[in-house]
Amino acid sequence: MVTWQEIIQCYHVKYYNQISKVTKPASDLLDIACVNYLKICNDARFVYLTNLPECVEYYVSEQVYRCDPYFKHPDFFKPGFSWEENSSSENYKKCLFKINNKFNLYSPLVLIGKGINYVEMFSFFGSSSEAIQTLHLKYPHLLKVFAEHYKRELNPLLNKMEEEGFSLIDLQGESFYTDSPDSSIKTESIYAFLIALGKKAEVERASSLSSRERDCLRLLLRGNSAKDTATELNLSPRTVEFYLGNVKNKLNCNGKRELCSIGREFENLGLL
Amino acid sequence: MLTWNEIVQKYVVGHSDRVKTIAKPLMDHLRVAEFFYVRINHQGQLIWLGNHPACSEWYIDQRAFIVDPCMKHLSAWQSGVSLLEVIAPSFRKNFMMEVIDLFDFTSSWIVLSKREIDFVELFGFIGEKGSPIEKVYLNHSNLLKVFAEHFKKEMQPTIRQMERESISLADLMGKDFYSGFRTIHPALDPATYQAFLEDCGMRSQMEKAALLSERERQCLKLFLLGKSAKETAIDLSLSPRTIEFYFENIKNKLVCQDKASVFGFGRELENLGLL
Repeated sequence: MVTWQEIIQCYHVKYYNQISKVTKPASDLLDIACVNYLKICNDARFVYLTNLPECVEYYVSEQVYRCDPYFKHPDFFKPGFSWEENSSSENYKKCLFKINNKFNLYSPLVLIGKGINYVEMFSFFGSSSEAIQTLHLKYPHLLKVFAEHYKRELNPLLNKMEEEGFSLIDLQGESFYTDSPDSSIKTESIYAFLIALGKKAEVERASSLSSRERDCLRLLLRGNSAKDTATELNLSPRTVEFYLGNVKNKLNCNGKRELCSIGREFENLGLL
Repeated sequence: MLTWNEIVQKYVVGHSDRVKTIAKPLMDHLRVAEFFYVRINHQGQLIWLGNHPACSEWYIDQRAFIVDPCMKHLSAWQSGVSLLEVIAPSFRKNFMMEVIDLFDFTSSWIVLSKREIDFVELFGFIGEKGSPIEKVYLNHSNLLKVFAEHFKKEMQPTIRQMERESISLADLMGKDFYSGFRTIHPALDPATYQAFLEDCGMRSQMEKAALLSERERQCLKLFLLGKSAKETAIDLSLSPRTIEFYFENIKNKLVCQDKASVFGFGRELENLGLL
C-alpha cells in the first residue's frame, strides 16, 4: 500500500531538479510559485507531481488531503478553470489560509482537463493573489500552453508513475467516491439561458449531436485531420470521417468550410 | 441640470421593470442578482440602466460614484472581462464590502467592458450570495457577451432616448470625472510573453508567425472564421485574386501543404495569441 511519504520521497524529492526545471518558465516569468500536476483515473490510479515538496510535506502533516475537493473520482469534475474561493468547505479554506501564511501561496487557479477515463489538473499557486487573478484575466491560454509543455517534457516521469499503479483509495479511503459540493454551472442551465436569449435553433442543433460527434467536431476546429482525431480518440480514421459526415448532415452543411464556421459559432456560444 | 437623485429616479428606477424582464434569464439560470449597464462617451455623456433600484439608490446616497471606476472617463478602460474587486481595489474597500452584506451579493463582481473609439460600454454582473459567479467568470464569459448583445437590442429605444437627453458626467462630477483614476489592467510586457512561449517550446511557431505581413495576417484570421476568398475580399476591399495570392504566401511561409493544415496551424497561432 502506498503512503504519502513514499510519494514525496520517491518522486517529489528525487526528481526535484527535473521538475523545477520544467516549471521554471512559469515561476520565473509569470510569478507562479507552485505548480502541482494531478491525474486521476476512473480506477483510482493516480499521478501526482509538485515543484514544492516541502509544501506537500506540510499538506500531509496537516492532513489537508482529508478535505481536499480535488482528490476525488473523475466523475465529479468538469473541464475548465476552477478557483475555490467561495464554493469549497470551510475546513479546506482554513487549510489554504494556513498554507498561504506559511509558504506565501494563494488560492490556486486550477485548470481541469478530462479524458475518456481520467481527469487531470494543474493547480497554479501565485505568489500573490493578484498575480494569479490578473494572469487569468488576460492570459488563460498561456496556462494551457504551459500545461502542454509540462506534460511533454515530463512525459517519461509521468508514465513511470502511472505504471506504478498507486491507488488513491489507499490514501483517501472511501471518501474518494464521495462528491464534494459541485459548483459548476449545469449544462441544462446554459441551454435554458441561451434559449431565453433567442438562441433556440442553435441549442437544438448542437444538442442533436452525439458526444462522439461533438468530440470530432471540436477536434476538427482545432485543426486536426481525420487521422489526428482518430489517434486521439482511439478510433479508425474512417469512423471519424463517418462521424463528421453525420455532423455535416445534422447541421445542414455543404462543405468543411461551412462546418467550421458553424462550429466556431457553437464554440463561441459554449455549446461544444 | 439633473441631480444624481433625479437621474436614478428617472432612468434607473424608471426603467428597472423593463430591465428586470430582460435580465430574468440571468437571474433564473446564472443566479445573477444585479445587472447594470453603463455607457460613457468621450465628453462624459452617461447612459445608465439597471435592475436593482434599491442598490442604485444606496449607491447615490453613499456618493459611491466618486470611487467607482465605472463612472470615470473612458481612458480607464480596455475591452475584456474582469472582476471589479481585482481591477479596482479602492472601490472594493470603500463600497463593495458594505453592499455585499447589505444586499446579499457575492464578493466577486464581473464587468464586461467594450471599449470603442469614442465610448465605453460596461455590463456588470453581480451574483446572489452563494452563487457560483466565479465559475461564470472563469468558464462561461461567452454567455455574458451573448446577453450583452441581447440586452442592447431589446433596450435600443430607451438607449436612444437617453442619448438624446444627454446627461453629462462632466457636469455632475466636475473634475472628479477626470480625476486620475486608473483601473489596473496588468499586462505582461511583450518580452516576457515572448520569453515564456519560447521556454515552453513554441519557438518555431513564433518565428513563422513573425514572417506574416499585416495583410496576410488579416486574411488568415478571416479564413479561420470560415470565410471564403470572396467574402474575405469584400471584407478587406481587395480582389479575390489578391486574396488567393496572399493565401499562397501564407501557405509557403507557414510551410503548409494544403488548406486543412493552414487551418490547423492558424488555430494554433491564434491560441498562442500570435495572430
